[in-house]
Amino acid sequence: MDELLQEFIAETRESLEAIAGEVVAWEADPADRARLDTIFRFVHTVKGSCGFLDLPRVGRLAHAAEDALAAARAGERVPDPALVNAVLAIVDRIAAIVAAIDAGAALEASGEDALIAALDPDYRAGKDSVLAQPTAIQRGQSRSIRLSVDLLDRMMTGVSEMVLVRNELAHRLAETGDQAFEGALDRLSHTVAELQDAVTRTRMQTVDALFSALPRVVRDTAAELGKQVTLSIDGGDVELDREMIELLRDPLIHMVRNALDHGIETPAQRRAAGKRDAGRLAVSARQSGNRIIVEIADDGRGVDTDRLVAGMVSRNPMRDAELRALGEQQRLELMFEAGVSSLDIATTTSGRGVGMDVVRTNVEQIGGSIALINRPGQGLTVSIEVPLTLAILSAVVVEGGGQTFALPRQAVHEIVATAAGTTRIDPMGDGRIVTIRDRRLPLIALDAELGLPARDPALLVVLEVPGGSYALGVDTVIDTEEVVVKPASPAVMRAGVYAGMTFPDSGHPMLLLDAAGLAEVAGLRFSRIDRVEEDAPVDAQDDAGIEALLFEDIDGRRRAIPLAAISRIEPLPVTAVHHAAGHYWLSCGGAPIRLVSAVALRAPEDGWSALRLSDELGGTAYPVREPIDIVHLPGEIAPAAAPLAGVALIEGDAVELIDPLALGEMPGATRLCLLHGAEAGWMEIFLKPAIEAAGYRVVRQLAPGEVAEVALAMDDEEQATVESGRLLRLGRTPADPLYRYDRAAVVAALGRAA
Amino acid sequence: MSVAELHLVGRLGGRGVLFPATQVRRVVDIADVVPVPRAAPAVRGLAALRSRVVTVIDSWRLLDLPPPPPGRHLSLIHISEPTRLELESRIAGWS
Repeated sequence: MDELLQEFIAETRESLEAIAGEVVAWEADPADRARLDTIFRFVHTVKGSCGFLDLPRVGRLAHAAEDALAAARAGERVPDPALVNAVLAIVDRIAAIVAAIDAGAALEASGEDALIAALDPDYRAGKDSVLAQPTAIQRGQSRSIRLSVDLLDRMMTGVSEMVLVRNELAHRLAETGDQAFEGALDRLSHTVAELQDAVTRTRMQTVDALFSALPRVVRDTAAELGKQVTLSIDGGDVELDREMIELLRDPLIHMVRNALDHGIETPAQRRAAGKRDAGRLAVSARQSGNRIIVEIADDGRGVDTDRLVAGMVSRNPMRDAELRALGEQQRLELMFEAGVSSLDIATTTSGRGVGMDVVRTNVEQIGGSIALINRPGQGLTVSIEVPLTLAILSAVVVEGGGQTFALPRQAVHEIVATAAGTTRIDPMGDGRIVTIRDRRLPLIALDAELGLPARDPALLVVLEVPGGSYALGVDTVIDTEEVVVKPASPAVMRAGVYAGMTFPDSGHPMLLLDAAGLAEVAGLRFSRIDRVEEDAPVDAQDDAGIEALLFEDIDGRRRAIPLAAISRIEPLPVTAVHHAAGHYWLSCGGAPIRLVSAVALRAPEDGWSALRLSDELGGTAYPVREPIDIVHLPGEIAPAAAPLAGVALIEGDAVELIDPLALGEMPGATRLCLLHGAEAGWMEIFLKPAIEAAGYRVVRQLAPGEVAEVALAMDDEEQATVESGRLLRLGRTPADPLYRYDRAAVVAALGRAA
Repeated sequence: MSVAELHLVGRLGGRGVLFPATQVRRVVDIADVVPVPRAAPAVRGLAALRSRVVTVIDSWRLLDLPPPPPGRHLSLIHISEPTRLELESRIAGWS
């Protein structure tokens, strides 16, 4: 079952149990305001959750009850026993439906209209039938329980202690040389390790748990407000303490609603301001040192601080002088004052929930902070920063200058030996530049940077940090392990190169390096690449016509491509593009991705973006100078030759429309290359990536019926007669015609062979 | 101060020092200290104290006192911070 839904069921059950007493008390005294408020909050919460969980039935019931109770709270109606009965019948019904959802059973919807009708103050008839609702649904077996985080903390401490005792025991036994307990100790070690893993995991969750509700919230809120909003989500795989996730949930949703309501303008207003119709909302999470930063950035109108101050002064003239004396940032901070939101800036959508003051209090309670970056007329960025407290990180343990350090695995792109033929280190200015294959990166020597005894690095760890990459020179890489990150004391953090500390099984504390911090301390500056990322737009209007992305192509012309063809848009780093075998390739982690275009391709320039085409279309990437807007294609399109689907009139301009299928039909990696003979394993390790980059599929064995276009074998290999188009023989010395370490020559020979 | 308070008496940089006993969690000897490169000179490093990691501070450096004579064991006093941030426990190193 959906995690969100399960959470909703657990929460609703818990609230139902909690309000059971209130319900009885309210029944005894319908005029009791405190009880009325409690029940109101319950139905209000349920209604809100149903909105994004898509539970219309429960939502309708809760909404009806909320309206009736709101009228009672506003004094428009007297809370009489009839109202109490009707509301309680609805609460019961909600409980029954929730139980049915949990049990996976169906529950008949009949009678729900009657339940709602019973809320009407003029409703009199058939009261008995309303109350006689049987709740015959079996309560589902709950597969989850809720635990206090304190308990988990105690388990965690206990397990850590156990690991240490195990280590000591192992150490003592090794000293005595007694083998008798070895088997038992092994089993103990294994069990303790599994237990440790399980306990640490109980506390961690990916931020996705937080972000997964956003698309729906944005869609619904945008529809309600008649706005168009494109939501992009980034960093959902960042792991965070479960408790933090829970505590961040409400503030995040509040901030997102705020951005839609107050930040992003209506399409008409945006057009008048020279912006694209659809507003952009970017929600991202990233780890920085021992903090997690969640950022909510919109490209709306920003905050009008003058209006904010004026509003506050009009309500409290005494503060006039004080408020007028504030600096711009301090004025902005006024948003966090109690009672501001509902009067000066809020409207229907966000005014209902918690105010900014509550958001800030919640965040500060968990040791976090909120920062606002206001760009009047261009948008507001809210960044919520919370501590990691207890994060499990997959770490690469490296040694430099005689000391071991941990590096976050996610920052490590690759590890290469300096002795390998593919790397070259050159001095450049004060520093050094390393060339790994055809990629040039600045080099930081870990030992020298930390002031430890320095020697020439044996291994290079290529680290990716926001904005760029660099190579970190280390002596050895010991292993990778899962570590629990603990915050280090301020005295340690002040060094600027650590993200925290860990206490691995070895019993020696280890420092966790901060890849970005190291780069900064070493004086590396990366130009910030503006991220443009767009998923299919969350559109408030149901417009006819195919949606297409209008963009500026690399030849400067405006073209459009059907939106459905694009899986995502991402920045195109110049360094990630290589030219091989007549094509340009984008390498980003996995297999190289071929660049395709309607025009002649050339090496990319800074600031280009890549439109990643969907896998059905070959998973290629289309480089563009700039994505412009999402447009609806007109019904009439003038035909044109492939790879164009035609020419459409968009905003008065003739725009070429690209046929994504025609791009996909361009030759792909279907040619086969056979690695032949005893050295095929060697070739696989050293040559396969280059051969694949040249557009071949590499195999060591042909499937029946398959014919290899090219086969590779060593020149002293016997029986090198294979069923293939052409055989390339590799030599063992540089004097041979095709030296096996000369990768460029091998690739060139492959190109000629094809 | 009129009320007598319990204090731990130690020697640091050749002179006697007092620690309020309420702030002292325990006194231990620690052999291995993992250095923290680039940190302030007074930060001696990290040490394991059972399942916890604590920062070891050379108090004589903080107080501008002469360094302890060589060849003597390092004693540590585990001082709990007055706040609830227990993870930040500090240690004063003295001889």
